[in-house]
Amino acid sequence: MTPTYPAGRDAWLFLTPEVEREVPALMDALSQARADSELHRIEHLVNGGSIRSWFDYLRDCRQRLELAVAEGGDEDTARRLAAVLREQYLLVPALRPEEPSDEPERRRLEELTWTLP
Amino acid sequence: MSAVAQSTSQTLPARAYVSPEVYEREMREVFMRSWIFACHASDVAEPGSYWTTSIAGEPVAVLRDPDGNLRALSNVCRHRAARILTGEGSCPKVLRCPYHGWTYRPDGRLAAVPEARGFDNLDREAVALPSFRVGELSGLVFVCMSEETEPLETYFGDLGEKLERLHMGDLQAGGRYPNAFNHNWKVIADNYLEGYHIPIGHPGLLRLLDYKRYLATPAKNHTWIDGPMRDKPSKHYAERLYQRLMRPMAGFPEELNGSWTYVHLWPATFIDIYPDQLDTWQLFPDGLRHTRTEARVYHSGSTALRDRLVRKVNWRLNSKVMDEDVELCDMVQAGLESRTYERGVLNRNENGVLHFHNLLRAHVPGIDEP
Repeated sequence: MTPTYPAGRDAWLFLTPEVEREVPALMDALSQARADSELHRIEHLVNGGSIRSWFDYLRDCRQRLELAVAEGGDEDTARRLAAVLREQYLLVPALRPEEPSDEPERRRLEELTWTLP
Repeated sequence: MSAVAQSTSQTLPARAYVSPEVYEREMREVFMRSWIFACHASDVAEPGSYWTTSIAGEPVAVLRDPDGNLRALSNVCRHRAARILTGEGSCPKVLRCPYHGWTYRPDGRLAAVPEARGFDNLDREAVALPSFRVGELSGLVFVCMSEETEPLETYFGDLGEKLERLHMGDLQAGGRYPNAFNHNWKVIADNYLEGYHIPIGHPGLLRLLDYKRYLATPAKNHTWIDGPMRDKPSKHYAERLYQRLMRPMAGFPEELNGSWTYVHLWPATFIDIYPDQLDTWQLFPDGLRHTRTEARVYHSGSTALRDRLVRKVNWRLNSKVMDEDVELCDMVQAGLESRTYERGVLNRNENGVLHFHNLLRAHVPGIDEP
C-alpha cells in the first residue's frame, strides 16, 4: 500500500517550533554560535526554506553538537540539544518517505542522548 | 482506562461534549448566569434603536429607551410567543408584536392589545416582557439573565482596562456575518484557545506569527492571547502584501502594534484585535452538536485604498485559517463520539484551554465525571 503524506509544500513547518524555541539558546550555551544569528538562520528557513534545507540545517546542528561534545561542552546542554534534534527524526516519517540519511542521523542522536554521562 | 498521567493537566471528558444533560446544564448554569456580549454601543446609541440577539436560545432585545436608558428585554410576546423584534433597527416609541399586534412600552410593560375586550380577565398591568440586566464595557454591550451574577464592572477583571486602550466604542461597526457549524460549542472554543495546533494546522499563520512568543494569559473570566508578528517578510504573496501595507488604525495602542491579539470572553465571545481592524466572533450554542456563530468587523472607517486593501487581505488570510479550523473541529467532533476516547492531556501551550475547562468545572459541577 502506498503511504499517504500530508499535502501542501508547507506541511513540514510543523517541525520547526521546538527547534526555533530551543536550539538558538542551546547552541549559544554549547558552542561559538550566537543565539541571535542561529535564530536568524532558523527564521530564514521557516520563511523560505524547504523540508530538505531544514534537514540540512539539522544535520549541521548535529555536527556542531558532536564537535562541542568532543571539546568538552556542557553535557546536560548537549543531551537536551540531542533530544530536540532526535525528535525531528521521529516526526519526519509522517511527512515524507524516509531518506537514506534519516536513520543514521536518528541513531547518532539517540546515542548522544544515551552515551553522555 | 485513560492513558493520561494523573500529574498532567487534563481536558474535560468526552462525555462533556456529547451529553444532552451537560448541554442543558451549560445553558442554565453558564450562559444564563454569565454576562454575554450583545452588540456594539453604536448599535443602540440612539433612543428607539434596538438590536436582537439570543442567550442560551432565549430571544433577547437590547434597546435604548426614549430617556436614554439601555434596556434588555425578552423578545418573546406574552400572548402567543412570537418573536417581537427582528434583526436590528428602530422602534421609537413602542415594540409591536408582528403576529397579533400586542404592543409593549420600552420598559417591557404592556401598552396596548388589539381587540382587548375579547380577552376574559386580561390583567394588563400584570403583563410585561421579562427584563434583564444590561451594561456597557469599553464600547461593547453585555446582557446578563441572572440577578445573582456579579456586576459587569468587575466580572471580567481587568479586561475593561485592557480594551479601553482600543477605543472600540469609537470604531465603525460592520454588519453581521452569520455562520453555522456542526460542532459542540466547546470544540470551537477549545480550538480558538490554543496555539499548539498552529504549526501543523495553519502553516501560513506560522510564517506570519512568531510562534515562540505566542502566549495565552488566563485572567478573570477571560484569556488574553498575544500573537506577535514576525519581522521577516513572508515568502507568500498575500502574507507579504499584508506585512508591507498594514498600518495601524489611528489611536491603536503602540504596545499592541505588531501583534495579532486574541481575546476569549467567557463563555463564548472572542475578540480578534488586528492593528488594521478588530472583530468580534460569538458562538450561539444551538444544540449539542450544532453552533451558530456571528462575526462583526470594526475599523476606523478609513476609506483609503491602502487601508481597504489591507482589511481585505486580512480577511482573506483569516478566512483560510477559519477553513482550516473547521476541518480540524470536524475531526475532533467525530473523535469525541468515539467509545475508546475518554479525555485528553494538555500541553503548557494549551493553558487557555485548561483555564476554559476549569471555568466549566467551576460552573457545572460534575462535568468532569467520565
